[in-house]
Amino acid sequence: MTVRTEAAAADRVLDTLTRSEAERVARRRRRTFWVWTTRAGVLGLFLGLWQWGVDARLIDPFFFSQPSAIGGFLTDEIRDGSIWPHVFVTLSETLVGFAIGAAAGVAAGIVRMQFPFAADVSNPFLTILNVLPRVALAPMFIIWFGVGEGSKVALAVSLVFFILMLNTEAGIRSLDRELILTMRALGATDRQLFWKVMLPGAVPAIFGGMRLGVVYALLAVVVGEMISARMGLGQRISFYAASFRAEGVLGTILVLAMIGLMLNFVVVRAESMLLKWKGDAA
Amino acid sequence: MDSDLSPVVPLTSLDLAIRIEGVSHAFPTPDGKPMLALDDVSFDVPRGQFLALVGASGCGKTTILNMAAGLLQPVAGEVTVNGERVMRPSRRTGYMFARDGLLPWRSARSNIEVGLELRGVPPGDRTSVGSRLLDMIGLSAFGHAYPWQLSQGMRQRVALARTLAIDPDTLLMDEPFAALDAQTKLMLQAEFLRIWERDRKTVLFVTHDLAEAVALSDRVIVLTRRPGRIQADIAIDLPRPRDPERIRFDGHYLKLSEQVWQALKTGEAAL
Repeated sequence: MTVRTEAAAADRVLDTLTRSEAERVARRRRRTFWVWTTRAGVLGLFLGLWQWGVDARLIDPFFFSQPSAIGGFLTDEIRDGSIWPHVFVTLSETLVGFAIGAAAGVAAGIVRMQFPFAADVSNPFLTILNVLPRVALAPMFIIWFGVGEGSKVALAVSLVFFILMLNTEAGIRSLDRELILTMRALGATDRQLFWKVMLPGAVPAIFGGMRLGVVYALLAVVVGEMISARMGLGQRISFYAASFRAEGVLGTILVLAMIGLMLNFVVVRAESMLLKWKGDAA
Repeated sequence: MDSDLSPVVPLTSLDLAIRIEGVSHAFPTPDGKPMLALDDVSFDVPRGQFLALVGASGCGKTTILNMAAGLLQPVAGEVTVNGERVMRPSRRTGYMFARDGLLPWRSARSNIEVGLELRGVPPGDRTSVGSRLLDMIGLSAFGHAYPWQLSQGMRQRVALARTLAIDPDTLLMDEPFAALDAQTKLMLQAEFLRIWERDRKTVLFVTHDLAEAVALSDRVIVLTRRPGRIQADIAIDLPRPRDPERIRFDGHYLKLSEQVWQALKTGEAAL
């Protein structure tokens, strides 16, 4: 009798728990829906006001263009396919520059942490190069590597390299001393300590650097193209700006934003796959 | 089971696991003057003995442990483990800390097996040792869990299994249960004693918890306040196997605890 009532009570508790859990999930879904709806509303309001402002002659389309013109420009560019070679050039320059810069930066960070003598010797030189506004080097890169892809890749490398070198070093340096001590007591050699503790421990910091680095690679490439190039979205922006076509400039910027978002998404996905061990805490 | 635990029995070098001989140590201080941490400490640990080192914080307990582990060289004196002077971490010594030091990117199993991996043990053998130890610490279902998914007590169990996986001759333990809540602590102490009583490895166990020292060990050495000297060397002749939870109400246990506590008080007052 009492056993049965107890069991019934337990069932009731579980029932209530399941119900409240379902309610919580539903509440979260409703919230997500409203967040997205509001976002869409804000965007629509902004574009609508812009469009209306131009139509009502409150905003000069010569300087600001208008959403319909930008949309028209993009559909034309995509329909006749004239934008794709530029997208391809900018994207490949960015990826190559990022890959070279990231690989070299991580390698340099590792070498500098492993050989303090090399770190001490290279410190002042690297500091000068790092504080230097790298964009100022763009004309030299164009002289050295030509107006083609080479100079843009070089500019991207010069930015990405330092970001990844510094992040790799910070990651290795910030490692929990306890882990190193424990592993040393377990009999790890210096080499094992490096490969099994320091490097894996630096991976989160390296990914932090990569997320930043990919955005900077795109920035460097676009700046390089704007200064002097035959192809690429940066070159297009310069071209449209010089011919006073605001819708061309803004449309191309929109495409660049899409590329940036996509690159960032790829890095974040790779990060979450490699850093599964961090769980929800990441 | 007869008592072979008395530390006063003369020992041949074969029976001797750890010898601390005239060891003194000093640390640099911020004002540049070195501070004496250990002053001429000597004691021997016979093979298979469970020795607890107690004393106020800063009395150099951990320093002795670090020397036995080969992580630190004494300024004066000599530390011998298994007949060899300790110059670097030995692969036959296991060291366990208060903080688990688990690698966060490795699963529980992989953390347990890491010591074997460092020694180049082939993966097949590692897996069988890993499974056996996971079973021993009652975490068979958690082999794939990452450290953040485990409770503090489970993490410390994994750390214990990692230390045991390399099958060390000597166990050095630095307050291994200090970071746990009282309940978990008692549980892990009992579990550890159960495991230890099977093969009776030599244990050098540092703690500031008197109850823990008396409940677990064969012998307690009390160190004085800095600079650390030996204040007392007390044989704990309680029967084994012991249950650290129940032994707390044993009359003889209470008497021994009182004795250790007195020694500690005297040691703290000494200058």
